[in-house]
Amino acid sequence: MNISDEELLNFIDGNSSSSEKKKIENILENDSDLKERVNMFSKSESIIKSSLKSSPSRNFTALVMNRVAAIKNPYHKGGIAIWILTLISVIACSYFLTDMTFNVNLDFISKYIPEIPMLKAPTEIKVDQPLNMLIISKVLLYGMLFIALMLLDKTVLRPYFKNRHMTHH
Amino acid sequence: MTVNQLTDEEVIDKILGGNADSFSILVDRYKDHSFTLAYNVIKDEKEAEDIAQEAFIKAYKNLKRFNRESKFSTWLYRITFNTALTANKKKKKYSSTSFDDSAIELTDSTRNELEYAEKRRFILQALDQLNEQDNVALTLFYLKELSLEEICEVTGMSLSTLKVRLHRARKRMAVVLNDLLKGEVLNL
Repeated sequence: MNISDEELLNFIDGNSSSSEKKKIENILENDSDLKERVNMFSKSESIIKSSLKSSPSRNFTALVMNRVAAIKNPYHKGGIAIWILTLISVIACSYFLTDMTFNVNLDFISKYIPEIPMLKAPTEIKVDQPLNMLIISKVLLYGMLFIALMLLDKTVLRPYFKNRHMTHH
Repeated sequence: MTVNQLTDEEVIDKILGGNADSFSILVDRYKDHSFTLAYNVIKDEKEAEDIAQEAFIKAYKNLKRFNRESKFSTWLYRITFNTALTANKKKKKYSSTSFDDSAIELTDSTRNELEYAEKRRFILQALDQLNEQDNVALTLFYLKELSLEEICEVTGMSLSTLKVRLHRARKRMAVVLNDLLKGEVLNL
């Protein structure tokens, strides 16, 4: 029975179906020509596999990494830009927030809306008093600082220490 | 977890996160296959090393564009293959010939030198008779790193073409090696 080279290669690769495998194994028991063909294929395959792989010079990785180091890290720009922008916004916001207070004058109510006795505000509430925004501004400022520190940690400090850790290990 | 246990995806995430040194893990992991691939196209160790280096640098610069639909190795080998092809065209030394039946002369002295280097030389001689695509397909097949579908991605062949070519090339390689070494190396 003729077995094609393709069938033989599939058999050597272990890709034959169970029926094909059994068929070839049965023939192999009595067919010395087929045995020789299988032998030729399997030995040549193993020689090629063992001899084909080659390695570059020992300092290959170092050479590549030197070239990588010479390239400005393209994946670092974003983090630094975010950090700088955050810093500028924090400085700007803290300046504006700490330097201003709001004067809320509610006189316009009586000016534009007719006074309704039923809804007249009790006299003890002084609505025309300036409302100091100090507390709110401080909350906002500390919030911004917290976010800025988080960003600083994520974009600058963590990559830096990870990098240092990788270098030492 | 040591750095060697990291998957390619995790290493890529580290690099994209700003840790450029992590790229050395990928270089160490794939330098042999990349170099072998380049060498089988360009046939010169020094140039193959330059091409493999160039391929790694290209991969590093374009890492953000790597869409992760395929394996990193498949993507890298495609870069290596294309870089080697471009270098080969520049050299204009390589003539793209398909398999022919010309025999390779075997002298008496080579018959007595059946050491690794010699075997390798014979194999490369036999591989020389393949065109670039067949050569790379066969190399990747024997390196056992990529599936047939991934080899198609690297070489740009269809799956059916690849199967036919691989079958033909493997058969031819067995015959050429058998003829070259007159059965001696096969008995080692």
